[in-house]
Amino acid sequence: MPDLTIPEVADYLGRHLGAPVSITSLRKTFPGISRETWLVQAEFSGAPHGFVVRVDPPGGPSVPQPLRQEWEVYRRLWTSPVPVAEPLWFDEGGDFAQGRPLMVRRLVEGTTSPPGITDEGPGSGERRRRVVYEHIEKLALVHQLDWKAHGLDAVLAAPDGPHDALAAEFRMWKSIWEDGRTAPYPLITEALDWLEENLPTDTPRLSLVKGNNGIGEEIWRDDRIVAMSDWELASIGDGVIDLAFSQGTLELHDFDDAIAHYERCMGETVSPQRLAFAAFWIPFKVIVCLNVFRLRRFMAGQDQRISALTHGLLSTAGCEYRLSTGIGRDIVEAWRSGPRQNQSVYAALGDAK
Amino acid sequence: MNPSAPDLIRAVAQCLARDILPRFETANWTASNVRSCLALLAHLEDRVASEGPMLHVDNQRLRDLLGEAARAPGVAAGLAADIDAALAAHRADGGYPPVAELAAANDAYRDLLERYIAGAAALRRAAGASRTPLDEAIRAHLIATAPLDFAPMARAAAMPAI
Repeated sequence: MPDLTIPEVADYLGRHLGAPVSITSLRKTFPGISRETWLVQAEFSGAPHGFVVRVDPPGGPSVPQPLRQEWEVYRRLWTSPVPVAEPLWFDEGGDFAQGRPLMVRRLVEGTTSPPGITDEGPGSGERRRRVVYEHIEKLALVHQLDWKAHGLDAVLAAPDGPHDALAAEFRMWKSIWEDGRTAPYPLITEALDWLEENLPTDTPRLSLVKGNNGIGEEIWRDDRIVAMSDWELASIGDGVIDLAFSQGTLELHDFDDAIAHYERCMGETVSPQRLAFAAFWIPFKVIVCLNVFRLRRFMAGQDQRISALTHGLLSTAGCEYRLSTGIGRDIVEAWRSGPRQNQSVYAALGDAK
Repeated sequence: MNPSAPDLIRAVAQCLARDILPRFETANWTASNVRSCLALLAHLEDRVASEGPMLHVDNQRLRDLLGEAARAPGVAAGLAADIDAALAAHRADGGYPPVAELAAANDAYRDLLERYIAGAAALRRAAGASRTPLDEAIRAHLIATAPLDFAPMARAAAMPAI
């Protein structure tokens, strides 16, 4: 499947904007596997403009949720206090990009990681604390958002109540797994049994949950998050999922202090049971994405990218092994004694904005 | 002795890493594809050496567990029949089985084991019962074999996946 070209992007944008467009640069971000992200610098009506074209890969996305849902989340968040890039339009089925679903949003200046954030030097620890606090505060903003007022329940299924938040998430992802896995995985079946035995019910509120988040996901400028990006796994549920899906961001600083700051921001505590459950739950969700939505499509000839094999076999094996270290144990003890998430299990997908 | 299969895979990987990858250092996506190939070759190199014996040992243990599962109290009649059929179909004939045959048997056994685990969990929840010795034996087997299953993946999984 050929990449997008400057002439076809210029023609497409020109038709949508109603004016001739001149493309000054076009670049597909690297990495970026779950969906393709194209950065476009253009000129029209005598002024420079930056756009981001987010488009499903030819074989389909690496997540269960369709791009249209992500678009609808962006659209609703644009009028909320949560910072996101301005969504411009959604399109699919046309003659551009082989009719693949796509959304166009305005380009936000910044980087997906604060430059030099892991470098050591005077003040580097304090800088990392500030960056982690900034991220925590933005997550708290998301988790405290009145999602009903912003109409997010029109596009995201809401659980029956806070007590059912993690159970609803469990049922949904287990169902996707059972319907779509490429082979029998008795270890994962056993792990799901163990996780179900340990499902927390003490979720204090139903929140908008971002999904994958943190360094590598958001747009940063001057150590502040100026746009929260990539809402492909957004849901309504327990915000603790985001704390466990922060791509190692919280571990840039003292994890316990990061959680304490989150508790201050939210005005409520996070039980160790919820943190522990989420820490083991995320590897399972990653397995579902990599197996059901990458490996299966490779085997069916729909996704010919070789990374579908590395992710679908190797990254999955790592997550499966991580799950095996908890099965049958006290979940909090297993989480506390296990390796903290100092690198992302999801980053294997190499998403980019 | 001529080069073994792992020797050949290693040689291909070295060629890619030494002669091909450096030419694409500025082409992110092309270099990424080569790195994916290198990770898969590392996995293959470790897998070809261990896959047959691992499957053979795992199949033996799974046959024992499934034989017990077929006679476990409360097990669905359909599952018990499927287990008996699978154990008969994949019975070793004394010859040296090809890896593909071992893998097919292993897949069938793992599928049945999954069905047993899910069924036993549903039974326990419905009856408020605790785990049986067989449930514990299956869990112990899966936990014990997890590091063995991961071993041929570990080196490759540590390499850049993209």
